[in-house]
Amino acid sequence: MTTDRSFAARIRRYRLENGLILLVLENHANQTVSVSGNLRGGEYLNPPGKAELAGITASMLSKGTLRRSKLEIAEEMESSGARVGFYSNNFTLSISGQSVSHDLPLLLGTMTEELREPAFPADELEKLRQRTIAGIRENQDETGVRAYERLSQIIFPEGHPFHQLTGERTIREVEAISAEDVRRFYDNHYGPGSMILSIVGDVEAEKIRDLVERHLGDWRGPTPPPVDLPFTELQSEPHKEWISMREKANCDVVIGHASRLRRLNEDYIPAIIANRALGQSTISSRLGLVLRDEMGLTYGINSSFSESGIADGPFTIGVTVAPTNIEIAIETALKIVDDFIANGIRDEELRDEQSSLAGSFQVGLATNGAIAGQLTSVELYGLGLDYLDRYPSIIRAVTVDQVNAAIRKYLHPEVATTVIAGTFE
Amino acid sequence: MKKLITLTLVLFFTVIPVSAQQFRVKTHTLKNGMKILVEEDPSIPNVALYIFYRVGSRNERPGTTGLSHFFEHMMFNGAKKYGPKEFDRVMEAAGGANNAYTSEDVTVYQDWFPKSALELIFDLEADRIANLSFDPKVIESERGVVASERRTSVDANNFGVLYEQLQAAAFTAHPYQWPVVGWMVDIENWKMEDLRRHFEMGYSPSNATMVVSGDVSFDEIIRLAEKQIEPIPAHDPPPKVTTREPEQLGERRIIVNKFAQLPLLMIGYHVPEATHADFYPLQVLQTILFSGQSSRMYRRIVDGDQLALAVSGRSDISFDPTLFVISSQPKAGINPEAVEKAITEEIERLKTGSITDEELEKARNTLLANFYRQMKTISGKANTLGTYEVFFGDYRKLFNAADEYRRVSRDDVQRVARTWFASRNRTVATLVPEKPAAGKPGTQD
Repeated sequence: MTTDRSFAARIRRYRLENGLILLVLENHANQTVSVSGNLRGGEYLNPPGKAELAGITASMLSKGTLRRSKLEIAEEMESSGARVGFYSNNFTLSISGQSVSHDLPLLLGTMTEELREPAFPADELEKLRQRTIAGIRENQDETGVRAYERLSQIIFPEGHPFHQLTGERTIREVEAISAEDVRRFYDNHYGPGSMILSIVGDVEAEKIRDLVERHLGDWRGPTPPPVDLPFTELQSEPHKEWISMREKANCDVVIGHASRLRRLNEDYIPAIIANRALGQSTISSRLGLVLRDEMGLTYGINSSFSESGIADGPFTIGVTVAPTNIEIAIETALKIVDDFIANGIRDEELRDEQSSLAGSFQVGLATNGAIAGQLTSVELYGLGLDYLDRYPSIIRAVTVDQVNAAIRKYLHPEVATTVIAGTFE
Repeated sequence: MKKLITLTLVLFFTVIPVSAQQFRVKTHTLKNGMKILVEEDPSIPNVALYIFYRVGSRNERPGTTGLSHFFEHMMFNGAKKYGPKEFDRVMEAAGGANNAYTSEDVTVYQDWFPKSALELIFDLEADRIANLSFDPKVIESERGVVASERRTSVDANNFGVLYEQLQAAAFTAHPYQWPVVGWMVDIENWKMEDLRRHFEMGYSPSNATMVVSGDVSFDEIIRLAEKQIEPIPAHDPPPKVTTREPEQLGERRIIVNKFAQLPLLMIGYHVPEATHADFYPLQVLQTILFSGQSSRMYRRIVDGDQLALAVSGRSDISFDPTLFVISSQPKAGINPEAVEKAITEEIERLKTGSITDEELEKARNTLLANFYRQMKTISGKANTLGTYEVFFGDYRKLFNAADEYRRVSRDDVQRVARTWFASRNRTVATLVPEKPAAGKPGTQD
């Protein structure tokens, strides 16, 4: 059921001839506008031996066009307070931008110029390469990064988008990326056919449609096929590894396994509610209430179905502890998970999580940027324009039995891998 | 280019004026001294409620450093009506979320929630202000949590370690010399009586300002506050911090040796507090030098000479004179001294060289855009109104900010550069990496 104020009634959806999907939501609360979008251009498209190529290509979009240098673009955008940015994740090139509504033509003009006419200058690629490598080296010094990296190698086979190469190997592959590689990646994958663009703010939908048509209507390019990855098999037995690092005051422990949970699984929402009760919040979930509040072992402990979206990612529990508390933290966390599987979620716990999820969804839609992001996500997963209206009732309809079934289906500590990174005496 | 900049500036001032009329702020002071600011914004059915306590690490003393931050944690650990673990559970079950932060000057509690939870939030906040629990078992557990937080955010973080050492070297008398999270030895040794004394000192209603922005009416907020908060008695505020950092008489240099992949460089210059006349010129200076890819430092150090991977500079709004901290990560193989030399040259160029009209206007526009961006959301408004009320003494000064930025002249920027960015007024801290003696970190089964 929708009303005049429902999202479904307010969202305008357009499909340009070249396949680009445009979603516009007028929100005249203040004179600003936010843009969110994506297209299939993520890391899963990297050819073998070219780690980070998608991310580098995305970053290079902002390094100058055939018409202007990056400095000229930065001068103009920074002078008006407008922003546009590109970054890649595992499956998509993501686009974001914001400005005052009067500057939307400037924002869309710059975004289009960078997207359609990148120059990929060699000197900028070299600077970016150095920054990327330095960033990887810095990350390699983080216990949490090292622990998760190793876990991902154990759970996912090499070549899978969630399998993270070692830092040293990634650096070697980044060192070998050429300007031709970047250009080829762009030519092979970037195009409007898989592109979604959401614009929310103080705008008029029909005018925006015309503006986007002028900028992007005649863009042509390849359309990568939809992602088609098999589900990752669950590990057959538990496993434990230690990664020894220098001078670390805290250790990071990551416990995880393949989850087989994707966004479009029919029990996705019950599974997400189960995780909220177990460990999403350090402050109020079961794991945090015991390991942080009662035992004082850690500043942070979380569980998550990280990366559960287009593909099935891992289920993980991550905790940072002093080296002396590693074993008790692991033992206690696993005991809590076992109890959760054996006894399930409590009635009042489910009610609290439902209210919390529905409420945080409402509070989270406070900005144009957040709404634009949600519209893009709804379109990406084909959930329907009324999904944002239906979402609270979908949450409230979840039963204890559904959550408990999801817990038993998706949590498997008996075959989990544990990786501990830190300095050990 | 200039035409565009001018046009944009005009648009900002004509399209998004920040005015008292636009924001409809109403105020009331309860009998116990708590001041309340209400900004009615019915555009979405949500509310942001912030409480600013004028207590931070500057109100601590050697031996009890970090207590303010510890109390930020304790405020979530149970009171009389809502026991341990209840605050977050009840708030989240009502669809709300919360957070808090502690700085050298203030401790701020932030609640975001659907309008329907308004009465409940007042009940929760009143309970913990009036009846905070001091359960020894909970305190011991939380001590472990804070120690873990310190290990993660400072001890295991090269930036955190160097910043802590920079502050300790730059301030010799003023309490800004110790870290907000506290020294580890103090975290391990607080006594119950220290905690009680600190709570009584800092958490009087008369030492707090509440800011509410969102889908509320002023009358309902005051009704709830009079019912829930007003009965809580006031007591003496924290003793006035009278210590002023003596003038620095010469450059200070420190080295931190620590295992790291790359060196780090930080330079701290003493600069004045928020209410000082140089505050706005310093903001413009900061923007010209450090804001965005078209800023002077980025163009010279990261992009042009390619000496560093990143460079940034800023000072925080503060009650007392503080530090303007410049941070940079030199590239592999680049000596931090080369980066320091380039930074110093750019500062000198700002003092004596030309600042173009375009540069000045761009800086003002950037500051205004950032400012308006904050004022777009109810949480941004609550935070900004509270910040102006607490740090500048009157939230209405917020409505002068655009004019203040506009009034900053080229001469102002160069004057504050000459006044505050002198070598005798700075402390230079360098993290010099120690490499492993032999072999690389390995993996063992």
